[in-house]
Amino acid sequence: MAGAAPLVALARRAADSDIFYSFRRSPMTVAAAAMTLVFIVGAVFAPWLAPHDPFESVTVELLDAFTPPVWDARGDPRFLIGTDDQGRDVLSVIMYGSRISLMVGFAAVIFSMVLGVSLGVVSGYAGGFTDAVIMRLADVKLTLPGILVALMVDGIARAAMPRELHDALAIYVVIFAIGISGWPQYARVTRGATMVEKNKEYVAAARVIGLHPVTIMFRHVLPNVMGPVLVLATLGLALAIIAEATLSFLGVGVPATTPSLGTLIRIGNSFLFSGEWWITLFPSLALVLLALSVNLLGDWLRDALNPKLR
Amino acid sequence: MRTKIWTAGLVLCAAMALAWPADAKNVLRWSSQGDALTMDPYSQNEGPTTAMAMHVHDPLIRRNAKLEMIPGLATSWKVVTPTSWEFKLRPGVKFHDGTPFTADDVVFSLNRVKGPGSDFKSYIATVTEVKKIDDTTVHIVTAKPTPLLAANLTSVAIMSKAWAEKHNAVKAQDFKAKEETYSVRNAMGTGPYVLKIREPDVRTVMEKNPNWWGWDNGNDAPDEIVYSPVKNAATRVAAILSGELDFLLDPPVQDIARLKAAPSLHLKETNQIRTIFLGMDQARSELRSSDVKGKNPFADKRVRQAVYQALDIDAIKSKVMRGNAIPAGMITSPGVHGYTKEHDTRLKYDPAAAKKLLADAGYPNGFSVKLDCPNDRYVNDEGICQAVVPMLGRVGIKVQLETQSKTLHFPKIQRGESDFYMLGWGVPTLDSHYVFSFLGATATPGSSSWNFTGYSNKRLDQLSEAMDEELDSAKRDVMVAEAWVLLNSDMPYTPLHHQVIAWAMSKKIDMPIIPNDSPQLWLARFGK
Repeated sequence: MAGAAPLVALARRAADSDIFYSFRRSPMTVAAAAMTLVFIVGAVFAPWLAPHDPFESVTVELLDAFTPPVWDARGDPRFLIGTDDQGRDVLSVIMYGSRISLMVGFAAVIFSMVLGVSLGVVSGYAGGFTDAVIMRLADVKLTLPGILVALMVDGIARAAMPRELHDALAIYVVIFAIGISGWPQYARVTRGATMVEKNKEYVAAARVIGLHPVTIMFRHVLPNVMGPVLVLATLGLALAIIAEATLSFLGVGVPATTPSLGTLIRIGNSFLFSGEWWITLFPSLALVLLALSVNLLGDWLRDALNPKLR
Repeated sequence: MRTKIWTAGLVLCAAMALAWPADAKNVLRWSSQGDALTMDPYSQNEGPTTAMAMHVHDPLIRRNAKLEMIPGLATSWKVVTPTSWEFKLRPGVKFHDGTPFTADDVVFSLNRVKGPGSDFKSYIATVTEVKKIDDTTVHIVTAKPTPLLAANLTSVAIMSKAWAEKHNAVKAQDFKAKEETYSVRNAMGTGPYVLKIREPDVRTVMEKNPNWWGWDNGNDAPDEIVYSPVKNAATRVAAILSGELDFLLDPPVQDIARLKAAPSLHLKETNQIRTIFLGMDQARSELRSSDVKGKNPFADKRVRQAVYQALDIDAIKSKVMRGNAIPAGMITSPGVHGYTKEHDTRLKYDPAAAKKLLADAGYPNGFSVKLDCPNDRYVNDEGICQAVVPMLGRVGIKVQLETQSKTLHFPKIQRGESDFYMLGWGVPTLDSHYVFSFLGATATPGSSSWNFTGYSNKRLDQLSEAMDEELDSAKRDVMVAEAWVLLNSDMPYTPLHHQVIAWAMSKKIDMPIIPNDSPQLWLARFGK
């Protein structure tokens, strides 16, 4: 019992904090957080939670293909929301597919965040010529729409690599393609915050005692500019998930053998005219819900961290 | 100033309004999933490629909508001696550039077919000499009697000698080596349509040749044909439903019911002369993509039979093809000489037997292999392959699937780089010999064989050659039957099904459906 006391105290402190208070006050945010949690748990624990393994050839039966959801008269109780064209359970495929979507989304955001924040801190702290070069690069990047850059990166990778290698590296190419198009936002925000911070007294003090500029930048300035970056990252996650789905829908994202939500929607799209709407509708719904929940969380975080809105 | 702009705008609108009726021609816009591979008529022996070529060019002998032989550039032909044929050429025919068509063009074309780069050599393999007798008479000499010569020539387009020489396209394009020649994007023939614009994979525009010899009241035939391939099936269907297209060669099977119900369209269906199958490389000492090293599992007939019996073709028919297929036991369809119901009987679907065969062959735990499939060539080709993967998985064969466009798939298998591949085979000559000479006989270097399995059976080679020159049809039929028994029992290929095709077209036009799936758009007629 004694060991649990500090934890209880910590939980109590968190529960009393401003942020948690504003979280509780907003039912929309609570719902969004719950939905995001459901997705993450469903995706991470898909092998244990999913009713079927859609990649195990022993259990996938072609004769089960195109089974409608259970509430339809032709439905099958084994498949809650029906099966796709290959006889795979749509619910299970969505759970496995969200893994790829979330994985690519998180990795792409972390990639662009690390790149953008590093460049932003350096740019804001160093100023002068370095600042000008980095910010002009960011401007150039911002003139090109993100999805276009991602398509270009994928096209170059396809042309440069033999097919086998490209298939093996496809996921990393997509992560890179999405991540590389997101860094200027982080760089700009970090640069602005850094410029404000670097004139404060604690930075001056650190400089006076002779610390190396890199240490000052990343040990002292960075933690104080992370608030807005976290907000950007949360909003960016939703965008990255949608970007991945867009690329996969266009057929240039992850290979068809590792279905993400985008590839599932693309496959189902072929069967819309013939009335098998569930194959594309449910993955689309999942994508919308996931992106919306993450976005709502980001919105709330932005408001909660903004002292002016309190 | 403002008034001036308004006036200019009004004048422009008026001009456009006046110009409109003069431009009202009958444009036939059509689509299918993949483009012709090249405009060179001898470079790729592939259905859609030849179908496109036959709009620009004429063969010596054409096939009509019922696939009967009718005169083309030759008005008559006869066998003079068993090894010599005489062709009388149509007088007064001109190429699209206005130069007259003569016997020289026939001699040039057939020599080009026999030359390097050509994928059509097998059609006229026995031809030793093409002689010009006079401007409208040609003699074709063969090494041995070749009763099928006339049928074979229906697939050979006739090119312009002067044009090919002028543009340095005397040799056929080497497609496998990705060669670019003038003849890849340009064409010069005598056919019903003139090639105007060729943008591979984007659009191909052809204009009516009003001087074509073959028009039978062609006033209502399309004045212009615009072909644009659309890879996405749903997009193609949406395009024809919205009236953006007039003709869709390959509506996806799942949408046939819906297209039938559309008031602006009519749908024609027929059994196609084309069989889809899987080929297995059985000659190499070791498969490239397998975890079995030092030996080739496919070299063992029991393994090939296991693949055959592991496939639930009825499930593929009902789920992937939605009933639009006829399960096959032989690689040729009803309507081809040599087809019989007995040869076309499949081995039973029996996964337990397949497992046992694998165990007997020394693979109780199966093996892994990569399957190469096209995704824009046959009806639901990718879907079939995706269905095959778990079926083979259940008997222990772990299949890694690689699907790609036919422009990459065909060169890959032609270079002999695939262990396990999908292919479909139509029979333009309507005789079984075509199947044996391309798919059954041993492939020799430099030939235009499509046997990429390494399969070789001396007796089948003999039969294939003998039936080519046998004039006694009863004796010949015995050979054809024996060859089918051999090919079916050796199982170098696993037959899947005969394709059933459906064409969707706007009610504005009427056009016969053709069982070889090669549209003859000059037969289309626009209604009033």
